[in-house]
Amino acid sequence: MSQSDQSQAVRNYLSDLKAALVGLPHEVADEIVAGITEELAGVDATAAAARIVELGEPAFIAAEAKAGSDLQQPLIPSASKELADSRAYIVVTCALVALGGVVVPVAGWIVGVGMVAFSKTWYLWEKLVAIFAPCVALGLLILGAWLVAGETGGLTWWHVAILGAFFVPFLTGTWLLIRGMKRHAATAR
Amino acid sequence: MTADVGAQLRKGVVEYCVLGLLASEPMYGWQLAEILTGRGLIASIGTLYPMLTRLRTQGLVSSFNQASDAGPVRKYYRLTTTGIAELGAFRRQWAPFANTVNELIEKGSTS
Repeated sequence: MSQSDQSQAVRNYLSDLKAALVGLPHEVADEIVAGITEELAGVDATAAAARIVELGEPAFIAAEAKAGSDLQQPLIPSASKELADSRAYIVVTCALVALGGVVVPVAGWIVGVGMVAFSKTWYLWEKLVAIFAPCVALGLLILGAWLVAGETGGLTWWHVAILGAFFVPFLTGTWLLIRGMKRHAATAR
Repeated sequence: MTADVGAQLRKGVVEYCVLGLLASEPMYGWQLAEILTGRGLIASIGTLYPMLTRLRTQGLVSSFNQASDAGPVRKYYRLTTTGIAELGAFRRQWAPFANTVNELIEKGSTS
């Protein structure tokens, strides 16, 4: 087996592994892929082939990881972790992001994005989008309205601010809910 | 039932075995997996990483990257202060517990 064949074999194995790990908590899946990648990196073809045989089928690794993620209780119980993984936590968090700012202006939304930040459901980039995208979108809306205020007549910048403050978090909360529930359903299978 | 007993016993103690291994020295994932699979405590590396993630979430272990002389940069795991305390508490309970179980399953309640 040539060096390029060996690299292709490793790439194929890692690709199959990533596909098999879909549905696992992303933190666990990332950790498994990173651990196996570092082990297969830099070894020759024979050693890589032996390690792949030793590792076993990606589907077997994924099944073991799923069983390990689902069944074992933590040594130190963590109520917040269990709550973060539950459907109720996801729904309440998204409701606060979407409508919290309407019920309790600003503070309600801040509580919602705080729960997003501490949750285990969403990826880091999704958390950043949830927190910063509404601020940026609202800022751009207000800026745009302020710039064209003289031409539009009745539409003032604060009209747009009020409408934006309602709709932008609502859209963000809905987006988080869709992604969160899909992920929850996948990990619950 | 025999197979279930073995699986249940392993589940109860394997995380403490990881803490015990890391008490001697920091180790990387593959290193831990080879020892644990060799001893029949886990079936594959797939069992190990959810456990390490859980132990890290609970603050019992931490991780750091370190380059080796010949190989790639590896993620090593080591015990935290909380992990050392948790392992110490388990060690104190394990010997009396194991002795009690041994006495009961070997001699019944006559001893």
